[in-house]
Amino acid sequence: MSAKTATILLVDDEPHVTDALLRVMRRQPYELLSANSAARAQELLESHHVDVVVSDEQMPGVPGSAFLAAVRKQFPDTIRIILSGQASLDAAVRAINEGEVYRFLLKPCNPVDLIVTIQQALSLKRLELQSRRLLREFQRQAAIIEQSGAGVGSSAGLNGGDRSVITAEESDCDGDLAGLIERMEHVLNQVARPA
Amino acid sequence: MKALTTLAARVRKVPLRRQLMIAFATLSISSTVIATLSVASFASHRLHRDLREKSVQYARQLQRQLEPVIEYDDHVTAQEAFDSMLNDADVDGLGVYAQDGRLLEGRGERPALLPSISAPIGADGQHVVAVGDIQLRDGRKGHVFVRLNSRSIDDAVRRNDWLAAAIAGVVALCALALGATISRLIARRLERIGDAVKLMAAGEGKRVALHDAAEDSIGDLALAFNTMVRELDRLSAEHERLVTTERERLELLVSERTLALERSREMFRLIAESTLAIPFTLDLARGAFLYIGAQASTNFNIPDERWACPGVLDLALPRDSHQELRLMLDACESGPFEFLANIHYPGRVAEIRWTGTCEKTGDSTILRGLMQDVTEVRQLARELTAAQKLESVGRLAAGVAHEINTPVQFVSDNVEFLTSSMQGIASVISAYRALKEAVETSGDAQVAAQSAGEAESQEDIGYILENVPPALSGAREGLKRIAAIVHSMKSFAHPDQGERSDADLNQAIESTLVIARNEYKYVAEVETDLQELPRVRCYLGEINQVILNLLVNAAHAIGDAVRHSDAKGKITIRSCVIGHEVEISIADTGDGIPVAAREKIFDPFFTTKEVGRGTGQGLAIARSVIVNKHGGSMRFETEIGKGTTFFIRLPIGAAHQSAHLAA
Repeated sequence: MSAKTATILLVDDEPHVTDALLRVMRRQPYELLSANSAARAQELLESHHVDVVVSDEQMPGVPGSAFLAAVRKQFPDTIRIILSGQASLDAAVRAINEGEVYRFLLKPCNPVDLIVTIQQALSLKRLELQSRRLLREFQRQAAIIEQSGAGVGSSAGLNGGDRSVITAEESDCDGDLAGLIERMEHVLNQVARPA
Repeated sequence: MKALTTLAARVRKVPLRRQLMIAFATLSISSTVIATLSVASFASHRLHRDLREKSVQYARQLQRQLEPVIEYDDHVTAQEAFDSMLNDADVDGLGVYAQDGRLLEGRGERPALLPSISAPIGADGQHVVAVGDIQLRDGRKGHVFVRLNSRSIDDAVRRNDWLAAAIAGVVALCALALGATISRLIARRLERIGDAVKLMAAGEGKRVALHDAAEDSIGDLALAFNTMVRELDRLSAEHERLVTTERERLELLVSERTLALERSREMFRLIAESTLAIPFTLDLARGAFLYIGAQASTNFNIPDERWACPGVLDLALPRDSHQELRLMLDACESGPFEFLANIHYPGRVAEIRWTGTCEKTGDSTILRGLMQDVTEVRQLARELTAAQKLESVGRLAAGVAHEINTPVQFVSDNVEFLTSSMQGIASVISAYRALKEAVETSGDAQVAAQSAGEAESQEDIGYILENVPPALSGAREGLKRIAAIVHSMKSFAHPDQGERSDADLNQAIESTLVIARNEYKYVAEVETDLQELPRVRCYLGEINQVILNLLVNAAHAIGDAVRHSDAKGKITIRSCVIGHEVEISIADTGDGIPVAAREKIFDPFFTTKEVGRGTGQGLAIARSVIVNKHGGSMRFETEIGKGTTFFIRLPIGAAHQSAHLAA
C-alpha cells in the first residue's frame, strides 16, 4: 500500500453508503474515515487532520450544507464536497453560499468521478497552500529588501525589486504555479505603474 | 198587537178580489152609516133649535103683552094672550110671575113649577123653557115663562131616522154591488198584469202585451207594463247583442291567450329540451318514460317512441348491472332523489346524474326530474384528482429520488468493489494455479508459492475476503429497497380505471409510508397500529392519495414544530373496524391547527403552507374522495401545541353506495 497523502472523511446517515465508498476507495492513497452522523463527524474532525469532507445533504437533525458551513468556520482548510441524493436547488444554493462547497455531487455518483473530484480538490488545496507559502516568502523577502535598500530605493524601485524577486523564484515553482505568478505579476504591474 | 198581526197575516192570505170586496163593503157601509147618522143628528138639532127660538120668540112676545099684568094686575090680558098662545100645540105651559115669584096667571101644565126650572132657556129632554123679564118704568119687575113641549120634534126626528136608515141600507147595498163589481174588475185586470208578469218571468217577454184600454191607473199600469215589456225586449236584445259581442271578444281573447300560452309552453319546452339536462317523467311501475325531453333521442341515439315502451327502464338501467340502484328505486319513497348511473347506449357509456322528485301514488311511483350527462364533468373531476395526485407525486419525486439514489449509490459502489475484487481474486487464483501447475509438474514450487503470496498481498486478498460478503449483502439490501420503493410507487399510483376494487387498506398505508418516507423520516418516527381489516371496496388509488396527503400534512406539521432542533416528532397511524366501517387515524405531534383555520381546512385552495409546499387541494380532495365518492366521513381533533389527528371512516361496503338517494 502506498503512503497516505491525505485524510478523507465520508459522512452519510446511511452506513451502507459509507461502507461501500470505503470499499471502492480503499486503493486510493488516502486515509479514509467515515461517520454516520454529523456529531460523529465533528468528533473525527477534531481528532484528525481532515483534508476533504464528503457529506450527504439530507441527514437527520442537521442538513449537510449546514454541517459543512460549520466545518468551514472551524476548519477553513478542509475542502468540502456534498454528495446528495436529492437535486434540490434549495440545498445546492445553501451548500454553495453557506458551506462554500467545492463540488455538489449527485447520487448515484460514479466512484471514479468522486475520486477524480477528490484528487482535484486535493491538488487545489496543495496549490492554495503553496501560494500561501509563496506569499509568505515574498513578504519575508520584501521585508529584507526594504531593510537593505532603505537609503537607496524609492518606492517605485522597491516595486521593481519585488518583481525581479518573483521572477527569480519562478524556477522553484511548479509548472502549475506559472499562471498564478503571471497573474501576480500583472497585478503588481498595475500597482507599480507610475500614476 | 198580536191579534192585529195575526189578523194582518190572515188578511194577506185572502185573495185580492175578496180583500177589495171587504174593503169596499166596510167603506161603503161605514160611510153610509156615518152619513145617515150625521144627517139625522143634524135634522134633530135643527128642530130643537127652531123650538128654542120659538120659545124665546114667545117669551119676548109675552114680555111686551104682559106688562099690564104686572102694572095693573090685569089677569084678562094675560089670559087672552095665554089662550091664543095655547093654540100652538107645542106650548105646554105658560106663566107670568111677580118680582117675588108669585104666580100671577098661568095656563097649561103646572105653571107654578115653572120658575123652579133652573135654566132660563133650557131643555129637560122633553121640554124647552124660555124666560122673559118684564121691567116696568116704576121699577117693578116680573117674569114670563114659556114652556114648549118637544114631543112633536121627537116624532119628526124618529121619522127622519127611519128614513135615513132606509136610504142608508139601499145605498149600502148599491155600494156593495158596485164594490163587488169594481173589485172584481180591478182584481181581474191586476191578475191579468200578474199573469203577464208571470209570463215575462217565464221568459216569454216578446209575446206578452196587455190590452187594457181603460185610462185609469191600472190602464196606465198596463200601458206602463207594455212599455216596460217593450223596453225590456229592447234591452234584452241589446243585452243579447252586447253579450254576443263580449263573448266573441272573450273567445278571441281566450284563443289569443291560449296561443300565447301554447307559444310560451313551446318556448319553455324548447329551452328545456335544448339544455344538456334532459327533463323526464318516469313511471317506475311500468318502467317507461311518460315524458322525456326530445334531446334524449339524439343524445342517446334511442328513437322517441322507444322511451314510452314499458320496460324501457330495463334497457336503460338493466337489473343485472344496476342491481343495487334498481333495488333502491323499488324502495323509493316520496321526496327528492339524486343518484348517478351509467347508461349504456349504442356507441358509448354515459355517466348520468338523475335528480328530481319522487312521488308515490298508490301502486305507481313517478319520478320527475332531470337527467344530466355528467360524463365530462366527472371526467374533469377525475382529472383534477389525478392532477393533484401528480402534483403530490411530483413533490414526492424528489424524496423518492433520494430514496432510490441512495441505494443506487451504494449498490453501484459495492458492485464496483466486487468487480475490482474479482480482478484481484482472478489474479490471485491464476497465481495459485501457477503454483498448482508447478507442484504438479515438479516446477519451481517455491517461486510459484512466493509469487502467489505476493499476488495475495498485492491484491489485498484479506480485505477482499473480509469485505465481499458485506458488499454483497449491502448490494442486495439496496436492490431490495429500490424494489420496495418501485413496488410502492406502482401500488400507490394504482390506476382505478373508474372501477372499485377490494383493497387491503393496511397494505395501502404501508406502501404510502414507504414512498413518503423521505417526507417524514428526518422529522418523525412513525408508529403503526394496524389491526386486521376486511377488504374494503374502494377506489384504491384515491384512498392512497388521501393517506399520502394526510401523512405529508402530518410530516409538515411536525417539521414546523421541530424545526431547528434535533428532536423528532411522532406520527401514529392506526386502523381498526368500527361497526360497518373501517377507521384510519393519522396523528401527529405537531403544533395543532390554529382556531381561525379550523373551519377552512377542507376548503379548496386553502393553505397555510408557504408557496411551493402545498396548493391547498390536499384536504379538499381528501374530503371529496372520502365523503362524496365513498360515502364515508372525515373529521379531525386538534389541540394547539399537542398535535392533530385526522380520522377517516369508510363503509366496508363502500361500493354498495354507488348511488345514494338524498334524504
